[in-house]
Amino acid sequence: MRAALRGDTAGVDWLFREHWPAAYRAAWLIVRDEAAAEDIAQEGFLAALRALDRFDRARPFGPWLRTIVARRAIDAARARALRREVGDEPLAAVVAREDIDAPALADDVLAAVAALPDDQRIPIALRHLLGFTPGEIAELLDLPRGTVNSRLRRGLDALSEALT
Amino acid sequence: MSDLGRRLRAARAPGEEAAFRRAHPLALAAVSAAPPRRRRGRRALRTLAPLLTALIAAGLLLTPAGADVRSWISDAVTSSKPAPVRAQTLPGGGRILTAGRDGLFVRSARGPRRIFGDVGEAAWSPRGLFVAATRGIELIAVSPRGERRWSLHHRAPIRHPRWAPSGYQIAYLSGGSVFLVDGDGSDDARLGAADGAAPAWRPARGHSQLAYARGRSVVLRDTIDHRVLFATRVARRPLALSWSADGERLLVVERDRIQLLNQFGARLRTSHAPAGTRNVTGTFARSGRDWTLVRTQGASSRLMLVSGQDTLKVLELAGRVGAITYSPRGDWLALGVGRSVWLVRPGYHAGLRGVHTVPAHGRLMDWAP
Repeated sequence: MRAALRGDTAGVDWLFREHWPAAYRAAWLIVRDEAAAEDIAQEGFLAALRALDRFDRARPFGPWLRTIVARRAIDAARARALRREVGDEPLAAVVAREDIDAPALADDVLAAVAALPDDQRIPIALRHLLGFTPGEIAELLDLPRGTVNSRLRRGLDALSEALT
Repeated sequence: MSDLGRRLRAARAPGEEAAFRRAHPLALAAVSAAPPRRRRGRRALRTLAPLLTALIAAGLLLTPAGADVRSWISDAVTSSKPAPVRAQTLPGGGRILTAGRDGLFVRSARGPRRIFGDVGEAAWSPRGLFVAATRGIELIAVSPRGERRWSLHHRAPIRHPRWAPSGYQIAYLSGGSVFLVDGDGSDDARLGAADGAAPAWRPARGHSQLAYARGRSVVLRDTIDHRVLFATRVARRPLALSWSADGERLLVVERDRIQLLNQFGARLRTSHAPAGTRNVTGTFARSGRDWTLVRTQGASSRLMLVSGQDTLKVLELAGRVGAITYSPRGDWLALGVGRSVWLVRPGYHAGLRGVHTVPAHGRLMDWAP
């Protein structure tokens, strides 16, 4: 972190290798779109880099980056849903990628999570990949905490069923 | 961390490795472009902050995957103005052609250059070596340096010159007919009756075929032996015709509907414009089968990206979009909005990644390598 703060490329390289993959994976699980995930993770990382001067070194970098990425991915998923064009029948939008071939993913757990509906998949990704607490997820998603807990529970139940 | 968390952290998401390879150098470049930071010396930091921001922003702007950081436009009517393109940049590269009463202009990364006088329309040759321009009843071939190579004239005004992908011929409309002339100005000959939309050359290797509108029909004709390959009746006069890069789909834009035909003229899909809206133009992307559509509703224009069954409304702006064309690499899209040119980078979920305006000198015509 100190090296990165000094503008040392090696320090940034370490930060990138340590934190970018989880950021990308979480973004992908939320938006289920490779290009979107790439941009979200990249935007988030660069935004974090730009703000290194203001960064409080007493706090770990990972959670900070993950919060940026989570917010951007959630915004992207919401914006995408809002952009569905309705009433244009033959060109009807199917914005959410329901056509993902879950079994084609190399990892069965990732495939099972990816196949969950939005309301379960996003809380699961935030909780188990990014490490947010249910309270933090409730704040990010603007939902009551109880709703988040029940969605997490239903998601885990669905995963358990899919993987056993 | 839960077992599920460990499994998810160990997994690789689709596209992750390739994305890592693209993002990694960008991150390093962003920091190496910036001066070393100091915890002390806040005055120096304050002095350098704008420079650092500018360098990072420039890095993002010039890096394809990061270009969207530059600006983000919601699909609501844009009240925020797009950023003007700096004199030494042109997102998407290549050379943009604009035409108007001020003359024919070529805009590249080096800035705009007036190459010819007042023209009506203009189109690049496939490799950008020449421009075919119209001036009333005259068709003129001009080099990018502005040298007039040849010209011909008809009795009626000439419109919609379009160079064949091979570069050997130019198709154009005049007086209710479509004509073909060789790229050197020779062998000017009528091909058939045509009107309305600009003719569209089919990108098919080993063939020379031209689609054009004739009343309420779309005709595909072989330009070597002049055989009519198909003539498909459509509902209204086509406003725009565009082939997919593989030459297997023809987009027919009509005022109130879109039709997709296959290479044999069979109708694959019809889409009606919602009530109160009108289609203006549409074009296939430079590769693949995604296409872009412009619709108007009242005084505003709406840009939509269509990919398979998905339609994304990506931009709605006050004013009329008269023309659209993709950049040579196909990663940027130029919109002719009155006498200005908007450059947008079609992208993923929200559709737009960067929006810039080019101070144009006339209407958008074409974009060449």
